[in-house]
Amino acid sequence: MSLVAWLSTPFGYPFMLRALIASVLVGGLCAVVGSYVVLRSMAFLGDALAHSVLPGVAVGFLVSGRGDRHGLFWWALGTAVAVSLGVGWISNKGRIKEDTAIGIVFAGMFALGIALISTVRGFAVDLVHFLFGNVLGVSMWHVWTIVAFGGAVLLLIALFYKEFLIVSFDPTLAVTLRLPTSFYRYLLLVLIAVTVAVSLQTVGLGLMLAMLITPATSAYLLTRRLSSMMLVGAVLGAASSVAGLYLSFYFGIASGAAIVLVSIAFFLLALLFSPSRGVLRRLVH
Amino acid sequence: MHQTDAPALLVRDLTVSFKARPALSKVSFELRRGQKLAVAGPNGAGKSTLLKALVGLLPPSRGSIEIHGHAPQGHICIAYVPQRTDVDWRFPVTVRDVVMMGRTGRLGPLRRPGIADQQTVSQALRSVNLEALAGHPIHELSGGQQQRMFIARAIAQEAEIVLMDEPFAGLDVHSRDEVLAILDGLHDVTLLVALHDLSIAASHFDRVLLLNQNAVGFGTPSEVFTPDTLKSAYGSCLRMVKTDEGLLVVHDTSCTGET
Repeated sequence: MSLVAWLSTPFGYPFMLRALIASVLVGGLCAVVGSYVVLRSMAFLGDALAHSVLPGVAVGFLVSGRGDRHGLFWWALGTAVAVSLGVGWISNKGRIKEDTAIGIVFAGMFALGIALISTVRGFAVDLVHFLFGNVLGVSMWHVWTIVAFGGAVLLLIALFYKEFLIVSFDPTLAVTLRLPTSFYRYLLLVLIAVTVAVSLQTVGLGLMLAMLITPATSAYLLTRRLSSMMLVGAVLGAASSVAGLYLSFYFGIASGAAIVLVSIAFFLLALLFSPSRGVLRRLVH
Repeated sequence: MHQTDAPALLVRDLTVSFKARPALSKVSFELRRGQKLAVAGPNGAGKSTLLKALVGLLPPSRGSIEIHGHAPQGHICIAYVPQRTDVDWRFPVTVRDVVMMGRTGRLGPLRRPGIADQQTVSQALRSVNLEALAGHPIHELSGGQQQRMFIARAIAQEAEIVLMDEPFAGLDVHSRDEVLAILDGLHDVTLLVALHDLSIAASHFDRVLLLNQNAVGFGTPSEVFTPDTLKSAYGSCLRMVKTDEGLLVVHDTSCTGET
């Protein structure tokens, strides 16, 4: 088989083409949003947010039945936004330490989700789809939701770029400039929540965190400004998706896992060869 | 919105408490535009607390703060230079990016910086002698350069009141003098600097506020640095001695009744 044929064969199938478009969009979107997750040390919160969506998806699953995958998206979106606002409120009101509070919400919601799904016969198969995604089953309708909601998220990040930058780098400056810091904090949480909801079908909630932080962190190692970190991260995220889908197609590996493993490989390369922070550079100097 | 005849900063009976324990108690002082105030005192005296209350980060539990005759809310003419240890130096921004952040208050939401903003930033960088490092990531800066970058940001912000928390901590003598020379050159700016080194307070500032939870002394350095006020601030016997090389702080070991 020639290289061209090897490269083009998978995408002769419409479901593979849809998977490609969806995962490239999700890979790019997650890296841009994930840049803030990385820089603000919100990795645990991002992970918790993804897992807390499960009970919402479960309720949607019970209400609308197995066939209706569109309904599930709205349930996931609603739950993600509600949880993000709740977590934002908890971490503001600190009687308990923030990460402990997030951990309790996260574990509790996740357990509730499993409990709900376990009432349905044959639940294990469906649970696996929620946990690890099923990008090969993405419909055109799903692709359009990613375009619409992902586009809205990116537009807001572009519009409030300088405000998000200040709130993330120097919250005190934000106060002296009289910026509405809580507004931007909550807005960022909601943007992460929307990103999680639209990305769920591709990598699943179990590997969501990897998509948020791995390409963004690789980009962090390779760049020196936030805007270029987002751009390089988006390219790496999209590239991981493409390469992951090939691995999935030719070696029969679960697509979500394959995408994440490729992004980890990119991360290791960045860690070794980063011009300013890399391991090799340190060895040479 | 500024009243021109009002003092730049008027603080009356300011008390700030954490969990019902006062960190700062009944502090009053007044500064005119362009005056430079050193806020001195031992560790835990409330120096940082005072600065944070003035910025609006900590709410006063009693007393009042007036900036140019008005309450501090709504003013964007205050710049706060954080302690160097409070900054994430690995954040992916360049020196120029950080200085540009100062323009955000003037720009307002949804507007991008224009040519005039770029020029203001370049000029601010020139005035602290950092143009050569404008494009460098902030983790490459030395301690003195870090302080100068934040001063440039305050200039770009067009701040009229600049608060600095321990800007000289951990700086070598050369970098310290560079920062001091820049601060001496800020003429229209009312400056409040929390610091440890009483000789710097005496030689570069026209007002000193000596804190030990309450205001132990406020006035010119020679009014404040008397053996009695120093003793009530620091507990032990500190003395300022005038020498040919400036003022020296001497710990008087022969002093009786030392705590």
